Amino acid sequence: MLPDTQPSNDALLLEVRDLCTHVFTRRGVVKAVNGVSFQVRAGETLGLVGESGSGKTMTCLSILRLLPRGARIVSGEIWLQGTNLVTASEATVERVRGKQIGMVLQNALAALDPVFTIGTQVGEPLVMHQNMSWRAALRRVVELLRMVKVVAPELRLYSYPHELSGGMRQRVSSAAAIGCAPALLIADEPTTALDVTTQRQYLDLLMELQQATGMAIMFVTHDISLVGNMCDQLAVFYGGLLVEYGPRQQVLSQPSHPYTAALLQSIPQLGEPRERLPSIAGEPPDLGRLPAGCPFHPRCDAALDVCRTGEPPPVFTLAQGRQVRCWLREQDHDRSAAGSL
Amino acid sequence: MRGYIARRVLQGIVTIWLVTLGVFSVLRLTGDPVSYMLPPDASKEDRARLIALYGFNDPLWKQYVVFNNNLLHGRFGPSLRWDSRDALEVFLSRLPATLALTGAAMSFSIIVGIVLGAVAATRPDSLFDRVAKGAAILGQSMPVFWVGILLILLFTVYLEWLPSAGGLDRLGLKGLILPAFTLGCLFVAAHMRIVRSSMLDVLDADYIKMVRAKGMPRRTVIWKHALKNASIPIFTLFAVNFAQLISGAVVTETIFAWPGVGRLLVDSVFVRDYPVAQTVVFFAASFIIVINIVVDIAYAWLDPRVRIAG
Amino acid sequence: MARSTTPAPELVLPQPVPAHKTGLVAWGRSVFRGAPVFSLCFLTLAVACAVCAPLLAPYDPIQTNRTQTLVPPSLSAHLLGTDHLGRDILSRLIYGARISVTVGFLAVFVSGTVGTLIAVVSGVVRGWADTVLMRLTDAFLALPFLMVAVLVVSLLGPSLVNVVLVIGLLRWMTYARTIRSEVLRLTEMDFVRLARAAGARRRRLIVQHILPNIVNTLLVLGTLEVGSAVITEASLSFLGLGVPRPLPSWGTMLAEAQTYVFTAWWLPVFPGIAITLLVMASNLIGDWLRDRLDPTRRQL
Repeated sequence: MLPDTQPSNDALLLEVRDLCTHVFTRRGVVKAVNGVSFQVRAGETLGLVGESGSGKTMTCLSILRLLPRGARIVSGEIWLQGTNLVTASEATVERVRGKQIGMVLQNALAALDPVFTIGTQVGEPLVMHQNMSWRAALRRVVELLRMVKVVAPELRLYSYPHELSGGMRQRVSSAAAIGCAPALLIADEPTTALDVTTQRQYLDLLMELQQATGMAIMFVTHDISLVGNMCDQLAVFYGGLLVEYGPRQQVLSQPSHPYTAALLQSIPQLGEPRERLPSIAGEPPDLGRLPAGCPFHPRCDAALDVCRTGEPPPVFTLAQGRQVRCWLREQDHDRSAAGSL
Repeated sequence: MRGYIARRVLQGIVTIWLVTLGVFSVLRLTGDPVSYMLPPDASKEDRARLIALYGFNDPLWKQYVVFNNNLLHGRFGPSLRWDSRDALEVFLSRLPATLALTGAAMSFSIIVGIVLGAVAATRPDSLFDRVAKGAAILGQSMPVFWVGILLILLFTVYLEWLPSAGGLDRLGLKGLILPAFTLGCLFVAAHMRIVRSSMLDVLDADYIKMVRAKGMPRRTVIWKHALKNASIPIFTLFAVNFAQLISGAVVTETIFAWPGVGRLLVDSVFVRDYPVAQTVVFFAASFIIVINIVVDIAYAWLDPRVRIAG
Repeated sequence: MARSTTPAPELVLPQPVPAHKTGLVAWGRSVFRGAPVFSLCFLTLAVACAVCAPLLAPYDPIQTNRTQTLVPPSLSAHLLGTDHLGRDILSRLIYGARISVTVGFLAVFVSGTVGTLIAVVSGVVRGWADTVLMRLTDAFLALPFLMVAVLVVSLLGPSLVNVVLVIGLLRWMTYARTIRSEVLRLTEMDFVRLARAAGARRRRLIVQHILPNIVNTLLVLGTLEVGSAVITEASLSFLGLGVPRPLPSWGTMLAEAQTYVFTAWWLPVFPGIAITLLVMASNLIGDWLRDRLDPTRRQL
């Protein structure tokens, strides 16, 4: 169906094809990622949106092969500039991590090693990947810290993580991730642990960094209101599947999947009179026991009979590069555009 | 950091004082000290001399004052057996042998324990791991002296590789191997278990994921980051084990005829040389307290978060 | 907007349990879930030996026999051989179990009682009593245990009672610390506060509310400590300071074996195996109890 090699498209940085990552627990197999495909182009920002447990974090961890014990990539391909990261050796992947793809984790205090100084932790990848001496690396660390707006960076070199505030730790984490100027930065819920003001500052910082370095960003969040002006493309996750994918503006203004629509409706708008906050009825699916058919059908108003049985709906390609996994959109499926993704 | 050190040292001094109180009472309150210290056929003059020397007929509080005074001046009394040499002198002459033994045993068990534990943690549930865990349980259940006897059976009797009795002076380092190994075996199991458990926790942590995300090779992840974090709980166990180490040394020295302070204690107790016995116990307790303080301070240095909580 | 159109969940009534799943077997299975079978069997065996020694032992453990010294193990007469005085090893092992088991359980009883007493006083009375008792605990913890035991037993004279007392009075600290934190935790809980608000006096509080809740911890600690008590008794006997001869303690047997290790391998091997198995059994059962009674507690 899909070609085996990556199509030559210069702007294409990362391509994920039919990724399936399963977690093998004592109680059974959890299909954390169940057939996800998307692309990231150089310099663009892709937003990955969905509830906790929808598969967005596991997708990111799969890309860098940082899966926890018991989790494994079962099938699929992840192409990064000619290399399939799924089948590559551990040594190859180690060279990609930090150097071509950087990652920022959610809980910044937990993400920094408590017994080493900031200088050591941010400088480590520089020494490792770029063969710098420690002295040169530390100088560069000061520059990086300045870039992420940490005050008095020379002093901060010798601080420990627990001596910094939450916002500062997040920025230090980011400095460590972008140290070697990676082409792609994966930011996994970087603002969840921050208060609203710090959130805003951090997002502005991310944008500035992107402007300065031209890197692509994969921005993972469960809060769809954050993707606002940031993202170029949007990927909506549900139940381990990518249910909608397309340019941000269009997905937000004209969602084609019922889940996306429901998400958007549940964002409270300041100033509007409202008696009750709307929410989506029901609960997110247990990935260990997915219902037959489309994972969203128990909560979907417009579910058809075909939605409740068999396999989940396949990817339908719509106009303007949008994709959706919903039987309701079958007739909009543009067959000529399919297969080129 | 300095405040923490000062506080810890002060606590240690109080504890040492309590120990001296215990040492003082143990002899005087458990029966007739004079009968204990002298053979049953001692003459009246000997008894009178002993009573005069130690002031056993004086009121208790006066004895305690004299006792403390002597202690502070380093006067531990004359040994009743070793030709009236000072008890302290006898003790100090045997101390190096014990230090050598316990030092070797502890180093051996720390290194082997860390390596085995770290390797087992990186291969959880593998054959290596399961064998290691089983061996650990076995190792912690075997009494020290039995291990020693079995090793003698194997290495001295059957294989005739290593000597089984003597000390450093007579046998050199070769004589240290069996006793140190015996004593160390006891702890390898405990250390391995705690390193393994601690490493497993650390390896699951987010910051290790972050270190890997920066592209650090496996060996750096394990031996630089994971181990340093995992070593923090290891230290508390080392401190607790020190008391056990000294207890184990008593038995080990007896089996291998090692001329250290453990055997000195047993020998002197059998010949009723109370001053020497008292000296050994006092110093052993003080040493344990000092080690505890040192470990607490090292812990604070290793884990910067402790200094504030102190 | 998706309105709540999901149907109300069906009521699922419990299925009637088939007959063979109720009753004694089911109860037994639930209580002993995941138990270390071998350890429990061995412990039972040891206790049986201790209690029924005269019935089980084939020979008299103290009777010397000059003609049968140092006989190797054989299936015909002496299953585990004889020692340098012609005494049957197997019988001595069985009688030795009596000593080890007695000392083990009694010593744990003593230290458990003392430790609990101190912990409860410390945790309920608090204030300066707590500080003093905790400093005392630190001091005792700093003692080189075996050395002090050696010293004290030599002063008091070797006997079973003295050994039990010495071990019991030198090992209460673990209980004191652990139970004290349990007590502190319990007194902060609401049901204790409620009782106090209702006017319950301290003694009633302790007996009715606190003690029942610490039984579990005590049980786990006690089981684990039995092993340590057994080893200490063996060590003391090994050094000649435990139970007096000719009582056949396993430790004494090992001490006597030392001289003959070059000629009679069965002398040291069997007593050592006995000690190891008993200690291992106590450790494994203790671990199992700890997991069973408090599954949230991490295991080292």
